[in-house]
Amino acid sequence: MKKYKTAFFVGVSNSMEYRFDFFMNLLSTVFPIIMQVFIWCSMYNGSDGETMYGYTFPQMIMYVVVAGAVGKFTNTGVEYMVNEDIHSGGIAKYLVRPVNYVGFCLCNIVGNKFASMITMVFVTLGALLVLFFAVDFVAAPAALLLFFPSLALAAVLNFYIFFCLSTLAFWLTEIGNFFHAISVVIMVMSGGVFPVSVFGSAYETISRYIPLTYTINYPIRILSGAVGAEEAVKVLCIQLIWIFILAVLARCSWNLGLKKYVAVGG
Amino acid sequence: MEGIVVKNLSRDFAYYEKEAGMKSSVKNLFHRAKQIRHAVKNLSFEIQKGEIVGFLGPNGAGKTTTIKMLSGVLYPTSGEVQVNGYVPWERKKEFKKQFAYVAGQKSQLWINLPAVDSFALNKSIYEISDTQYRQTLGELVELFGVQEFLKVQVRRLSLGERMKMEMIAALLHRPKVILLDEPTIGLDFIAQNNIREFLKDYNRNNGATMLLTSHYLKDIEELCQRTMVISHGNLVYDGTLEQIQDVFSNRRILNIHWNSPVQKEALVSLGTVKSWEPMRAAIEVDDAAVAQTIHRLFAMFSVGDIGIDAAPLEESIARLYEQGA
Repeated sequence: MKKYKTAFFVGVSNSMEYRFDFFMNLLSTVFPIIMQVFIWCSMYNGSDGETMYGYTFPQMIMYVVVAGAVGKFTNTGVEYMVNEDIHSGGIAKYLVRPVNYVGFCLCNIVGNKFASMITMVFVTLGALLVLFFAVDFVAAPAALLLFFPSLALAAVLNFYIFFCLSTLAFWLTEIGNFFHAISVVIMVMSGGVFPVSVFGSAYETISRYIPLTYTINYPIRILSGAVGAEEAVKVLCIQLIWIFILAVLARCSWNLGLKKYVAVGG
Repeated sequence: MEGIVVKNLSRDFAYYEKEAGMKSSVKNLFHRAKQIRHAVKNLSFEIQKGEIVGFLGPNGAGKTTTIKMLSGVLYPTSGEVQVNGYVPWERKKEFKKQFAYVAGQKSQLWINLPAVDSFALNKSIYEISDTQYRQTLGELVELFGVQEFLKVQVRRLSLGERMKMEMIAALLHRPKVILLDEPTIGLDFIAQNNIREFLKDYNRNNGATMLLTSHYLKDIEELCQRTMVISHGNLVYDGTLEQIQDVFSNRRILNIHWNSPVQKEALVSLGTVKSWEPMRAAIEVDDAAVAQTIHRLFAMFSVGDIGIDAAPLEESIARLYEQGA
């Protein structure tokens, strides 16, 4: 078990090595959110009704602001790490050592993102404070309490989704652009840009049965109170189930890919 | 059984060829002719516990492929391998804990981290106890004299320093079998010497089995009691380096200094002139003809000094390389 703890700390110190990158990453979260706030301002101004897609203006602003932070929080970037390891032959160093790659990756990534995750929590809290003054948004204590566990599970869930995708690197040589494209699609479908309800009720229904919305949309709805405490616990359970399913899938596709890898060599 | 046993090991690779030009690029989109390359052909050998064996061969001979199969990073197409009684590609935990793989060209360290962090990571991966870790690390660091570089990010180290760190990382868990793929590549001769001395020491103190590939004959000469030469995937020689010399070189080089200048043309009838300057020359002759040639030299010219050398080892080995084709 200790090896995975070390992997975590290695990740933490790894992320500290590049301070500039760290702050740029932070900055890159803020700009899109500001853009969105302006867009929604003008859209609500131009519309007649009180609500759009079932959200009042304060709710919508709260959604996009928090979605930006949550999206950043749950995005692990594991696909680039795995892709790099596979194509540079770096996985050999895990193959010859008594260590499990998936577990190592998870701990390393969580460690790697740890500093930015902590920062994101504060950014989110700060944003909520601003929202409190700007649009009179108040989060219920129970909602806040349930929000953070769901956020942590969302990050793990996201890790496994992308880990599964990244094992495609075993079969495809050039996959960097695919990751760029697919991560945008996944981000949007998860509700990382605007509420899932914007896509219509059909997708809203489907979204309940796929893991994507449980990475961003549901945690935010828990925070906003759109999902009540009782249902929120259910959401946490569903997150756990998806994590389990995807962890099994990740392990299978990793082993399958590895068979191919050691068959052709790196 | 400890040591390495390899039986009829073969490995094929499939690859695709493309003719030059745009037209064949388009054609390749629809149909690619699959080619098979036999990287390793029916290789068999045994290495005893505690032996250091050198693995020589030209580029593309199959050295790295073999080492990769021995370390379990690659499946063979056919054949059997046992390393200390384990089948490498089953990648059992107990097996991994008793061998190490060092590659000069591919870092086994986490290059964004200082070496000492990589070591700590290896410590927990191999579940090394604190006392053993401290002791081993202390020993290795002192041996290599890398104390001052421990806390520097590995990517900022020079190749020589990095390689020393690689060795330390590989040996922290005190492996019983070490597979080294060109550990001294690109290093200056001092660093090469360091690594060699170090491996010798480690072998002496721990009785570890080692298989190492290198293009530097000096590595093999100094370290290995036994040399295997592989060419085009075939094992073409298994024995000592000196024997290669004996078997493959019946040629001698006569190094002669003259008392007065001698023309090159005057020497051609005696043997192959390898080098020539007015006051000296090197002539290659068959070893049976040495005595007779020296006689003729003394009769024809005023010889100041004469030395007889064996033809360089490289030439004998180059001949071996050609055999595998």
